[in-house]
Amino acid sequence: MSTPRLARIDRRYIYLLLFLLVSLPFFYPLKLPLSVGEHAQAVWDVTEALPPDSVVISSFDFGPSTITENRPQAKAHLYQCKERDLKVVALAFWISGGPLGEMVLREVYGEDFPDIPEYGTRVVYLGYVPGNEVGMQTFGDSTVSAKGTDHYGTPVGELDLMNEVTSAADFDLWAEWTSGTPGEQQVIQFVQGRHGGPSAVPLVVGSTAVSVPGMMPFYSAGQISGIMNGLSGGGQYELLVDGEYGYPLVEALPLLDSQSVAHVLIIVFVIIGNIGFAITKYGGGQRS
Amino acid sequence: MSVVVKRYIPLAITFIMGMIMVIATYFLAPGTPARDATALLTGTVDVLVATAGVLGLVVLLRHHSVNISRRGRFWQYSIITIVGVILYLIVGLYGIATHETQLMYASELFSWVYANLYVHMDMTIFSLLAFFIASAAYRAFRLRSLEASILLIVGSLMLLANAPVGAAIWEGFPDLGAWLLNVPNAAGNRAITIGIAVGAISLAIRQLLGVERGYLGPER
Repeated sequence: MSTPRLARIDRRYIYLLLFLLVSLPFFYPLKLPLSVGEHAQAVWDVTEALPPDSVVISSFDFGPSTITENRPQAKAHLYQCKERDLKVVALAFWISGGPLGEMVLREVYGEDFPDIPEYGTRVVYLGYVPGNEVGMQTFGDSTVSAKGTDHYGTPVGELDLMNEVTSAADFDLWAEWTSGTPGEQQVIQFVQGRHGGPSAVPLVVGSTAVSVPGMMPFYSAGQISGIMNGLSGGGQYELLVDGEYGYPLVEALPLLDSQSVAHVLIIVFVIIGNIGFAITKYGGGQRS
Repeated sequence: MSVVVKRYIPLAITFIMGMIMVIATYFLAPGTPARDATALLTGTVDVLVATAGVLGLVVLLRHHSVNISRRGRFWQYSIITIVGVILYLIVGLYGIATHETQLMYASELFSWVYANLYVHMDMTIFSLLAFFIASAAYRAFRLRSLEASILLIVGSLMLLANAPVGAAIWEGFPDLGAWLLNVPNAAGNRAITIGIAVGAISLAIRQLLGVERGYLGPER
């Protein structure tokens, strides 16, 4: 007796069906309701609790492959910082994150960035800081030792904002947008751990969904104050920012319909595969 | 090369540098001149990384040149790799040579190539993962054993919890997903993290003492 068809669907049909169903919501949005979870809410609460003129680090530690998840997170958080009159020092410990950070800053602060009045006093972009985790540690110990100029070649000594922050202890929040190493664990190990712990350097993280399970021990211990979990976390944050400030740069929310369809399709295929498996096992067929 | 140069000197360098960092981290107070002096050592990492980058470029070009000359496996792709690397290198160096800016990242042409070619190619390759995951889930997620069944059920719950469709089906899915992350997952991951940390400390001690020499290459 042959293996039932249910257990041996050609993968090309799976690919085709996934492609069609993921594309469909772009033309016919499902507009499924989204609720804000505790992890994204925690990021919001920590950021909202900062007094105006607090200094936030925004660290773009991801590459183009995870831009769909990390960019909406970083963008929404930067927009909140801008609306709340928080000062921002942006940088990247990933070489691929350098150009991506600049793209996000231009979306939030305007296409003329860095030629904007507030550059140097309320926002600075240092660009790529080399050295991976060692670069993080050096930056945490002494900002000027890690990078002598900003992304555009201006010495950091000429930027008023950089004169306010000489080490990690001078920052009020570290926002880490990450999809790997160096990422949040290196911030905890090489920056937070050397400068007074989570109360001195609070850390919020926006991460790819696949990395979030590994962060939960640090979240439970209070070393991470809040997490945006993948595309869903980014969408939840866009809801929060839109509700409070009106957010014109929404990016993640429309994509969540496609994600929903893809997740349901995967579950349906798992069920179909198991029915085929059960028929094979208990119906006398051969195993595939 | 003598065994002194190949073995003993690297071992001595590893021991001395490692001990300096251990003493600086655990026995010197932050802000003291002695502790600050160790920042010089961490600064040398940048120099090493930059040197390794040049070395990586040479090794990459050599590997693919050999593949092309021998008409090895997928040699046509090696041509594309070499052309891509050299063209992007020229674009980066051109930005510096013309003094458009001090850093090549701010060069308009360099940024254009990155934003309009590399970003989209990388995103495309990564997005193919969704198709492989769908196919792999269909083939591999089977209720073969108790452990596999638990993995399948929890995985499916997380899929529903992490997308709006889950809450549309049952409003408790997001909370259930958060509990799974916060409690059973955190417990398991904590055990793994502590295990890795203990292993890393053990490996570091072995390397400092010269017991673990794998990083020096094979002994002859």
